Amino acid sequence: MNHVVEPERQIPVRYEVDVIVVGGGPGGIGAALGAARNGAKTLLVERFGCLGGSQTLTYSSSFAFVNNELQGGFVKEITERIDKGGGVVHDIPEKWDRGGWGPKQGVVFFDGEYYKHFLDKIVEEAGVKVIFHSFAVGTIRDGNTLKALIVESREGRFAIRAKVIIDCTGIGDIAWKSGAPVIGEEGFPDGPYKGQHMGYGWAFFIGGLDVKRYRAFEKENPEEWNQYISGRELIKQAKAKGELYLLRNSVILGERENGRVWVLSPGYTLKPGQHPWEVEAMTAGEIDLRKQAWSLHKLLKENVPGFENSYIEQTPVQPLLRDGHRIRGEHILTEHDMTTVKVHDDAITVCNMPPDYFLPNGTHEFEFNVTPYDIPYRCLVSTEIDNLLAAGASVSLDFKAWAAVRYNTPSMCTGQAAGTAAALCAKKNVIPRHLNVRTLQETLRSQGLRTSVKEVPERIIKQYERMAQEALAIKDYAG
Amino acid sequence: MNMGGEPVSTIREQFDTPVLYEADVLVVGGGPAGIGAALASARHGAKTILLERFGCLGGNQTLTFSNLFAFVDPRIQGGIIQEIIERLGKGGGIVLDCPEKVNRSGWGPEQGVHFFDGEYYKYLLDNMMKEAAVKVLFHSFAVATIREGNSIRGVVVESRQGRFAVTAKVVIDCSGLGEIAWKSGAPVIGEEGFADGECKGQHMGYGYAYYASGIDIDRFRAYAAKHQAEWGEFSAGRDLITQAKADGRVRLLRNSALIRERIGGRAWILNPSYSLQEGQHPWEVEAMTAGEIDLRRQARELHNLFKAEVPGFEDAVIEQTPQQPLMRDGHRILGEYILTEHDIRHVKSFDDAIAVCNMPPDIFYPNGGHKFAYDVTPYDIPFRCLISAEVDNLLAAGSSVSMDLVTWAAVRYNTPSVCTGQAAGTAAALAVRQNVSPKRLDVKMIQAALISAGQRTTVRTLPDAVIKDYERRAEEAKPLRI
Repeated sequence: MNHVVEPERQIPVRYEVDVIVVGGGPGGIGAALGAARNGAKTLLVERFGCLGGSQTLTYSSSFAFVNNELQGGFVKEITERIDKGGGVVHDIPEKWDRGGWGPKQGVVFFDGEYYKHFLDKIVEEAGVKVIFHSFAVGTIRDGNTLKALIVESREGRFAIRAKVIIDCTGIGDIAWKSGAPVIGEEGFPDGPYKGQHMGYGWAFFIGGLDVKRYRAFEKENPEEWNQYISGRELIKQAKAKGELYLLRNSVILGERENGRVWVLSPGYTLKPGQHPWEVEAMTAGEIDLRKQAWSLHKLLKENVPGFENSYIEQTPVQPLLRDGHRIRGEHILTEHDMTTVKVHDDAITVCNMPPDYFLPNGTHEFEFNVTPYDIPYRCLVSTEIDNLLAAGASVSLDFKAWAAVRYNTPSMCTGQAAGTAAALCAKKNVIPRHLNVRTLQETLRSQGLRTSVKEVPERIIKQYERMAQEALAIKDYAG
Repeated sequence: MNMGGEPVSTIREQFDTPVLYEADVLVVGGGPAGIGAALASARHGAKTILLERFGCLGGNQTLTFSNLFAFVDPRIQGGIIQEIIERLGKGGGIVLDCPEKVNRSGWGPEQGVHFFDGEYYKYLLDNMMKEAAVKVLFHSFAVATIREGNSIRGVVVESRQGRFAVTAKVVIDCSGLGEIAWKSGAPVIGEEGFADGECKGQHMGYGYAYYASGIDIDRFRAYAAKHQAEWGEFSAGRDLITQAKADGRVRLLRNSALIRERIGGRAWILNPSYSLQEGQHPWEVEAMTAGEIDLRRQARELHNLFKAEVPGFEDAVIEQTPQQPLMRDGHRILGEYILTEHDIRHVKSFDDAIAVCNMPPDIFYPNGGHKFAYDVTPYDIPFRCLISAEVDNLLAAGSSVSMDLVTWAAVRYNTPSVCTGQAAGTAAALAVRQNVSPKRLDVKMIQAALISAGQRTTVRTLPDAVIKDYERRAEEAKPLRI
C-alpha cells in the first residue's frame, strides 16, 4: 500500500486529569459519574455535541429491562430522575408489552431531547469536565502505559494526560488504536455467518401520524398490525412486487398520542470481510439505510391508514453499530459463563440481558432464556495495558455475551464499576489490575449498585427462571 | 492537574499514513459549497471525492436546521442551485405551508427564500452525488494536509477505522471555516473577529434553531391573531421573553424568537444564542462545549416558557435539536483578492467574476444584537477570492472564501455558497484537465463553462430591469428585528 510519512509534529497537552472517559454513551456516562463522584478529576471526551451515545444519537432512547432489585446504582437514579422530570415516555403501545419489550418488562423509554439536557446537568453536578466535538483518535504509548490520549477537533490535534483511561467508545476504539490486544475482529465465530459481522440497524422518527385512524386500522387487522413486530404481509407483498427496498420483512412501530412514531426496520448487512467501523461500510450503510427508510415510508403512506399525511421527521446521526472490537481483558466472559457459571468472585455488576442477534440475512433472534449473571471486574481490565479499563460494549466478551452485555442498561452498570475503579486507582496510586476488588465491590454496593447475583433477592431470581422457562421469543423479522 | 484547556506541554508525534484514495479533486465538507463543488467537478469529468465529517450531506442546511435557500432568484444565480430547487419541488421536498408573516418579514417565499424538508434533502443529495459519480466518504474528519512546498499533496483523515490519507491534484476547502487552509499552514483571515467598532476583536457567536412539535396550531394562530403585534409576526414573543428574563424565569440572550409553524403542529424556532468571550474562537473545543450546553439549556427554558404561557404550546415537545451550534464566524483563506464591504456596496463588478450574489450582510453581534437590511444590490464574486494566495492547488468555496467580516456575513449564506462551490468545482476540474494550477487557468474559460452550465457569473450581463428591482428594494429596505 502507498504510504506518506507525515512530518513530526508537536502536539500540545491541553488537559491533565486523573481519569479520562472516552465516549459519552451509557458506558461513558456511568464511568464519568462513577469516577467524579469518587473524587477523581474526570474528563469526558465526546465526538459529537451531546451525551447519550446510541441513546440519543441513534434513537435507542431507552433502558432495557430495568429492575431496581437487580441493577440499582446509576441506572436506578437516572431512570427515577428522568421520570420525575417528565422525561419518561409513558404512552407506549400495549403491543410492546405483549412483544416482551415493554414497560411491563422494565423497559424504560424516554425523551431523547430531555435526556441530553438532563445529562448535561447530572455530569456538571458531579464535577465532570466534558469536551464535545472531540474525536479521540489514538494514544501515546510508553511500554504498557498510555501516556496520553490524542484528540482531533476543529481547532486541531491535542493531547490529554491521565492516570487511567476508560474506553467507552462502544467498539473498543481506544484499545484497538493503542495497539492493545482486542477481540471482535472476526464477527460470528461459527455457523453459517462465520467471519461476518452483525450489520447496522437504523431507527428513525415519522411525524404527523393520525393516531386515531391508525389505531382503528390496527384493531381491524390485529394479526398483522397490532403486534410488536408488524406489517409482515404488506412488506412481503411489496417486496415481491419490487415496490419496496428493505432488508427486513417487518417493522416495529412505537406510535405515540402526539402522532410521532419511532420506527425500526432498515438494516444493512456487512459483506464478508467488511468491518462495521470502516468508512466504506459506514458510507454505504448511511446511503442504503436512508434509501430503505424513504422506501418504507412511501409504502406506509400509500397503504396504511393514518400515515397519509405523515412525514419523515428525523433520521439518526450514524447507523446503529451492533458489532465491533472490545478489549482483550483479564477474563473473557463467555456464553458458558452467562448460562452456567453465573457467579464470579470479582463480580462488579449483575446483568439480566439475553443475547440479541441481528443476523446477516436480515433476521433477528432474541429469547429471554437467560437468568441473571455476574460480570467480573477482570472483563474491564486490559490484559496488556496497565492503565486502560473498558466499559459498555467495549468490555471483554465473546460474541454471544457481547450480543447481550452491549445493551444500554448493563453498559451503564459496567461504566459505573469502571469509573469507580479508576477513581480508587487514582486515589491509591495503583494500576487497575492491582486494585483490591473487595474495596471496589464495597464501594459500589455502598453507592447502590448490586455487584453479584448473590445479592439479588431469591424471589427476583425465581421470576427470571420462570421467564426463561416460558421464554418469550422475538424471532425473525424475516417472517 | 489541568482542567482548563490551556496547553501545558507538548508531545511529539510522527506518522506513516496509508494513502487509501487518490482523486483528481478532493472536496472537504458536504455543506452547500461542497455540494456545488463536488457536483460541478464530477460533471466536468474529474474523479471527485467528497469528505464529510458527519453521516449526511447538507452541512448547516441539514445538521443545524438551516433548511433553506435564501433569496433564490433565477435571474441572479442559476446553475446547480436552480436544479436543486427544482428537484426539491418535484420530489415534494419544498415546504409549501409557510406562514404569511414570514413573507411580511422579508424572509419568505415571496422573497425567494425556499424552505425545504431537511430529511428529504439528505436523500436527494445522496442520489445527486451518485448520479454525478461523486465518491462520498462519510464519518471522515479531515484533520491535516500533506504539504509539499506550495502545494498540498493530500488531506489526512481520521475515522473510526483510523488515520488515512487521500491524495488529490486540487483540494477545495468547503469546511465552512477555512479549516483545511488553516490546518495546512496557508495564510488565512478571520482570526480576529470584528475588525472595528464596539465588538472589535470579538467573534460572532453561535446560533441555534430547533424543532418543536405537538403544537395545537389553530389555538396558537387564534392567539397570535388576537395579539398580532407580539405573536403575529415572524419575530415573536418580545414582551413575554423580556418579562420572563426580567423575572429571572429564563436566561436567554435574545428577546424574541423566530417561529415558523406548520399545519401539522411542527415549528422551527430560532432564538438560543451564545456569545463568545473576547479571545475565544468559535472553532475551539472549550467554546463549542460551553455553547452546546448553554444553547440546550436555553432551548429547554424557552420551550418550558412557551408551554406555560403560549396557547397552543401546552402539549408541545422539543422534537429535535441540531448536531452542532450554528457557527457564524470563522477562518477563511487569504485569497489572491479579499472581497470587501466597499466592493459589494460600490465596486460591484469584476473582470474575473464567477458568481453573482444578492445577499446583504447579516450580522450577529456578541451583545445579542442583530443587523440585517436588504440594502445592497447584486454584486460579483471574483475568482481570485477562491484561490489561496500561497498554496497552488488549494481553492475555497462557501464561507471559506477570501473576504472581510462584513462581506463574510453575506457571502457565507447557503445560496451564494452553492454558487462559489460550483465555480470552484468547475475550475478544479478544468485545472486537472489542463494539468495546470487553478491559478494559471484562463478565467474566461471558467466563466464560459459556468455560463454554459446555467450559472450567471457577473452583474454586467444583468438586464437593467433586474438591477432596478433590487435598487427599489434597497431603497425600501426595512431592517429585520430579532
